[in-house]
Amino acid sequence: MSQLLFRRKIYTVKKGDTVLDTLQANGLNIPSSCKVGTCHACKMKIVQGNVPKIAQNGLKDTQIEEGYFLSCQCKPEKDLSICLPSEIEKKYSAKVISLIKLSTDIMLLRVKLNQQMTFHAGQFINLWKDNHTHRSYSIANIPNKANLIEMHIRYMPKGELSSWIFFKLKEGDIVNIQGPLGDCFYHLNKHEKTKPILLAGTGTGLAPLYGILNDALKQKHKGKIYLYHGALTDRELYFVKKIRKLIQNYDSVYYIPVAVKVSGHVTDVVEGDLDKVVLQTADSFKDWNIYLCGNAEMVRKIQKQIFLKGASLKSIYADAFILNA
Amino acid sequence: MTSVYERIGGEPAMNAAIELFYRKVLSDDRVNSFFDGVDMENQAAKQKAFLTMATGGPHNYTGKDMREAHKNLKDSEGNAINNDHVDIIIGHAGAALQELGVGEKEIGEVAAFLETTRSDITNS
Repeated sequence: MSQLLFRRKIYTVKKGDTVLDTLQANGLNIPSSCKVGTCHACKMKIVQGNVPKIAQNGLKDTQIEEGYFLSCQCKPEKDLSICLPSEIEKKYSAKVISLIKLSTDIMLLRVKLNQQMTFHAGQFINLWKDNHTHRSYSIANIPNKANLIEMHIRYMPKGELSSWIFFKLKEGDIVNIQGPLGDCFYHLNKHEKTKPILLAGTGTGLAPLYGILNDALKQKHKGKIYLYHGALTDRELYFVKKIRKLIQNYDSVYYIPVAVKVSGHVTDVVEGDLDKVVLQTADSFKDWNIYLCGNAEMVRKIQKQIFLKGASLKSIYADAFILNA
Repeated sequence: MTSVYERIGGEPAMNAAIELFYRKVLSDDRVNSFFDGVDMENQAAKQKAFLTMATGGPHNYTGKDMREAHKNLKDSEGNAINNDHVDIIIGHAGAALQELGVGEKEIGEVAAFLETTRSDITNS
């Protein structure tokens, strides 16, 4: 018999029972539906320990790496500590190192964590303004010895968090951070490094994509990489020079800024709709890994079209931003 | 006798079938507006659960869920799901299985099973 640690209580798993059976038999309300490992409603996360391989069947590679498993398929062989995907308990305090304006409404916020956090570029964290209010921001940089985290913050009119970051927060302030969360990150093993990658996003959707690009380069990705950044006008694009400089020595990495209206403010911007431009990249996206971040409508549109052009749903990592005031 | 699910190769085959099937459905203007705005990953998971059941794989199906799920669905012109839509979907499921090399006999068995869910889907 093995034991489960969940929400600081211990539950004994009866022989032949699953994690879900055990928790539900104890009166806990764990989301579930099909109970045969198909619907993924009962997905949970490992805090400590291991689960049988069958409990991760059908999950995305990045989800497996992050320790997600299906509680209805999990008959633990050893003791296990687990949580629900929404219950990441770990909180960090962090010191604001710099606030740099990247454009009229986008700020680069760089903070230093008080201790090391294991994360992947492209995941997100919750940034707390006080005990009540937080927003999610993507991590735009790769793990580093200095424990720095970079975020791109877009100013939202009447936005509680972004107003605070733009007008109140200053260097040296201490903030609270919780995370990391999300499965949108680079994960290809050495056999898959020749597969092409497509990164496409709008607005601050560039933050996770820029992080993933840096991660892929650091891990010596061999296949082609296309980074598309879309905006309404080219004046809204940012990081253009930085990205061009980053990739200048790589023959197989392409950066394509796209704007619906081009004024000439930025050189070499493709004029058009992001989804249409992105879909022209290849005749088939079979075997591609696709990362889509930013405006929810655009993300869903590209997700659907790129799936219809052969990409597998398991290889599409979509991070649709929900904008909060 | 083993189930169609086992005969076609179990879970991996089901994953391949779902992608083919879902692509066919989303490309078909006669039915794709029923899927506007749905979360694609959730939808694919549900379709996999359904096709797993239809092929005799492990499942926890209740007709009530199926009935509830389709009750208020409307296409872009406000039409509820009717028999024609169900025919189209069954056709796509059959075509997807055929592409994967599943035999006529097995496809017939799956279609016959899908037929038993028709009244739940059309809420008739």
